Amino acid sequence: MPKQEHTSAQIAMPLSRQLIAMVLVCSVTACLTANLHANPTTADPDTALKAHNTINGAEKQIQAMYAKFAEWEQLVITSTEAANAGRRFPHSQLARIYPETYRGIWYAQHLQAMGEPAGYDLERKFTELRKAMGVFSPKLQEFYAKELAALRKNTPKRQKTLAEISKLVSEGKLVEAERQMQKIYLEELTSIFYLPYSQSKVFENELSGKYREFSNELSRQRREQYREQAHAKIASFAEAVETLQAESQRIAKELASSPTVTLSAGQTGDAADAIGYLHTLWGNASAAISRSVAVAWAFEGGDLESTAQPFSVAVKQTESIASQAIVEVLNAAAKSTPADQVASLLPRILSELSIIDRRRLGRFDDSVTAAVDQLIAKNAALAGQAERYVNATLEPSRWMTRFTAQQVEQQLKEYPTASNLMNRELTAEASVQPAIYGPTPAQKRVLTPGALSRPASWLVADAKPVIGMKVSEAATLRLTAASNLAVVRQDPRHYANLAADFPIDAYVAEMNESLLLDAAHGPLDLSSADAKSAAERQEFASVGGQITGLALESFLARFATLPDAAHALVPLNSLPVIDKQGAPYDRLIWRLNLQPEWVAHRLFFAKSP
Amino acid sequence: MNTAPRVRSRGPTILLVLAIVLSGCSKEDLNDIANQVQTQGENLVKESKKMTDSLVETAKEQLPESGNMLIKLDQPLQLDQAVIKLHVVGDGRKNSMQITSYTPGEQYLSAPAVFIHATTSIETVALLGGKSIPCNLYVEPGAGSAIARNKVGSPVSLTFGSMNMQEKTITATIEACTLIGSDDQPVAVAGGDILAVVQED
Repeated sequence: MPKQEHTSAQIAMPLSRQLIAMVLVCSVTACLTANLHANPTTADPDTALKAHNTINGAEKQIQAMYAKFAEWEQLVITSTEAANAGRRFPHSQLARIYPETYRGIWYAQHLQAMGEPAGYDLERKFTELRKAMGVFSPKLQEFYAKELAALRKNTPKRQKTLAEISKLVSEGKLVEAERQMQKIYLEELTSIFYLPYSQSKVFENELSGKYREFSNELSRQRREQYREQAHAKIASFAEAVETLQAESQRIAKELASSPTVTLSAGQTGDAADAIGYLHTLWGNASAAISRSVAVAWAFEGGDLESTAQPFSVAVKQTESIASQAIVEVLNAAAKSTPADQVASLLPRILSELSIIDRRRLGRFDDSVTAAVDQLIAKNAALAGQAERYVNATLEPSRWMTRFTAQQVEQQLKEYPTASNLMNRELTAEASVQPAIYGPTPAQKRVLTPGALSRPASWLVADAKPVIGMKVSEAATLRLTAASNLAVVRQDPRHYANLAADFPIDAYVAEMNESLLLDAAHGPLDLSSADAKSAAERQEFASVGGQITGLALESFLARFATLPDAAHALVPLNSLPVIDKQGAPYDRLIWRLNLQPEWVAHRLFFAKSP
Repeated sequence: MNTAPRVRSRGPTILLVLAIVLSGCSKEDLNDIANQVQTQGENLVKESKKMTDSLVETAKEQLPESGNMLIKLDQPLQLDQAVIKLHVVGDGRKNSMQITSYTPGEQYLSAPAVFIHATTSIETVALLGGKSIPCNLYVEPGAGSAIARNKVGSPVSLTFGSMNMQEKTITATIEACTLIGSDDQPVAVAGGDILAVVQED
């Protein structure tokens, strides 16, 4: 292990102090007021890529750097226009900004060591801006002699500093070496700004050459330190899994002797409520595992699949705990619920099971259905009804399903899947890429790529032609019963948001009638319970509609900060699916806002009126 | 697949009706029983069923009826099977009347196929006699063709004749209606005729 002369927290501190200095350079203080939680969108492309903020302070720095970048870029754009038109431009202000582009790159690299994908975006942006500032020097010839003299005059000091830096490096004091390096570098860059490369390179190479001698090693050390800090977060999923396990055991035990049990926050509930509670805990564990694996991907190098391996194991363990807990709750309910109460309990249990079932891959295994059957068997009359109910609803369900499937097939001709559309090469309208960076690629290209190949703000703004396009999506899931927001779960490239307020009352009424459901008579099998709960929650098998907006998010930040309530973005028994090609830090995930034009429940299809 | 329309003689049906009359239970008697059942509830339903069963016993030697259906599309659709079943789940839940052009629950459906269903409080097929009930009608005219059904909220009226207790069949007519295809195209139906075999539990 390399010698570390600072704790990780201390490393972050100087960066914050330097940042304050950077902000002061332009005497603007508003940069920290930027929205801390948004991501760039088609409507607001210049918003920062959200941080996962595993290392405290990263988020604030990222926000500040995007804000300063936008301001400086604007100055460079207007100054370039003035310079090209032969007008005066604020060269002394630009000469102060020029060193800041270097500082921006250094900080961006530090953010990369913090595992922050935005660090890669910022490095690209500051690098491009620095290059673009080369346009001014040929128009500043009257300053050459003065600035060259200043650099020459500084040579003894520079050489002395470089010698000190060499000594610090040899002593392993890399952070201090970097501090001195950046100080002298920044001093000289103001002069270097004025000079053509042919004249400045001798000075700059002296600095950059020395910096390169230790910067990689320093970055490596930082990564190592931050990785150690991240370990707590990477391991934090275990707590959620333990809570699931402990609560599962307690609930099953209590329910075996009583038809009700204490659930969260002192509320009591019956077996159906208990299954709902287990769902919440399973969802929390699933979201925690998603967060942990994303943080692990951000900090652990190497193969994504091997990094994910322990988390895959955790997902399987969690599924096993939850499935077993559900079976135990059902068995306990069969013991403790009075026979005459089973009839009213059953539809509610089936409803809870169906909601869980839609949030996992595959279907419940036989142990769950066997436990349901055992509960039903406790009431002989109910058992007979359930058997007849299955027969009575079989053919209506079959025909509703067949008709709906044909309707959906018709629609899909006009509504390509979103995943498919996002892979198509499309023609961009005029790019937002400012002219200071040269011409924009004109050829057709994928406007919603899965990797951060250009600055995020350009990518998202150039994706505008996608807005208004028609797409279809697979299953939608409501985030919570109380919220109106539904999501389409993620694939490596995208997920979708939509409102769960489609007008389907007439269809639901017919479905309920066909499935012999009314206020006093609930579903008696899992299939009808699924149909009913899906209709009530507007969780559709597929939807089609227009894309009304796009947001661009870092894949890692999205899942490293996944709220518990948003666990439906990932199946309960799966990890987030990431594209295994390329580096994880530049993986992007697009959020589509979808305005549905039709929705397809398994048993009905509805078009917007 | 056999697509040739199966032509059936109505002769045996008339003979069977005669047989019922001769066996000592007049049509009027049956109607009376049916009316009483409607007003007096479940016990009488059981009685009605018993009576139906005893009548059926006497018809055992007849060739089994498989029913048929004619759906008057532009190209009339003739099907050589029709089964009616009244699903009674119990516990005061509504019942489901279902007519299929195939054996209900058959795993693989082959086109053409028709399905008619309605939710009803009536408890036996016999009691459907003479009644009109609003139904959902699904028609799949051929393999690979679009299924058509009544629009949601616009059920199709199905009017039953009286039940033939010996053959365990019942006739029904479908009112003229316009269905909507899964391809969103309207499908005109100039009515339909059904002779359905009653399937009991």
